[in-house]
Amino acid sequence: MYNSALRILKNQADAEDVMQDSFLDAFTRIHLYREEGSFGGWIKRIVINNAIDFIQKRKPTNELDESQILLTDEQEECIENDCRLEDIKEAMKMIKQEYRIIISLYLFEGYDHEEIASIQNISYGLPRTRYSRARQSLLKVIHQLQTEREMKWA
Amino acid sequence: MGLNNLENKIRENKMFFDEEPSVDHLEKFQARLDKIENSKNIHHGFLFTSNKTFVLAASVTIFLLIAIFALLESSDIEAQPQLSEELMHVKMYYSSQTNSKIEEIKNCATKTTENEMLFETAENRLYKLDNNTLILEDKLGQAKGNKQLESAYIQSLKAKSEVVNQIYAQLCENNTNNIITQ
Repeated sequence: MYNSALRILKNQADAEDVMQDSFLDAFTRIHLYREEGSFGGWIKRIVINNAIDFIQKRKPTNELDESQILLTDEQEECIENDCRLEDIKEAMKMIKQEYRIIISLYLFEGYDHEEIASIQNISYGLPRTRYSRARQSLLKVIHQLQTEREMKWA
Repeated sequence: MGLNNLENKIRENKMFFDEEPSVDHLEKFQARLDKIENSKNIHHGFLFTSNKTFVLAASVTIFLLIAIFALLESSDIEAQPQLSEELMHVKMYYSSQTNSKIEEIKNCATKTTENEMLFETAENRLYKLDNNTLILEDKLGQAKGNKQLESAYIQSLKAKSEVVNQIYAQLCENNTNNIITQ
């Protein structure tokens, strides 16, 4: 639960606050829990909704604008093959908020695109295109990190 | 290499991306709960107040149990649990709910022969339900993911909670109403 919030919020203290709020929300609204899904899944959904609400109310932070960098298919494949887990973790913190959210929901939490559309209250087609852009963005940042490291050690 | 290389890398190494909350996290939560409780501590009568306290106590208990469970799981000290994480959450929720209610019953029920008999009968019923839950838990350990068993297990936990609520209603709420109307 904590990590679900942390991946969206990037900030340890905010993630802890959101998790605590979510636990309180869950147990004051326990009567709304229907046994259609798992109990853990229900609480996780509350955590994620609260994390998204929290981040949308927060002022925008400085995020990397990687839109000027263009990668070829070969470069993408190369980045994917050579990327380190540390680079992915670091890059996740650097990409745009909306990209970080969709990658978190799709890859880490395992929601499908329809569920993501429902969570984010957006049209059903949007998560697919947004995820595709998010993936590109993540790879570009990973590429930057790889390049910086190579230059450092050159 | 396929296009899903990045996705596979992340999905196969999810644990790598996990982090632990700060050490004083639980203390902060407890302090926060105390603050909420104090600010809302307006006397609306015994039942109303105890309900709020109960929700807060249940939140803390479940939160602590989840934290301890996660800690044991990560340290690999404990043997393979029989229940899934979701079912553990459900079990912890209903256990804390019934235990708190039983404590409340013990405190509020007046000591009459009739009440004692009623409580004794209820205790027998609870004992049978506990046995039933244990049998189901054991079966779930052998057939993990069996939806029918999982549903039966939840129903069994829920049944115990409902029985305790009924006893509470019979022994305590009437008693409280009498005190209020006197």
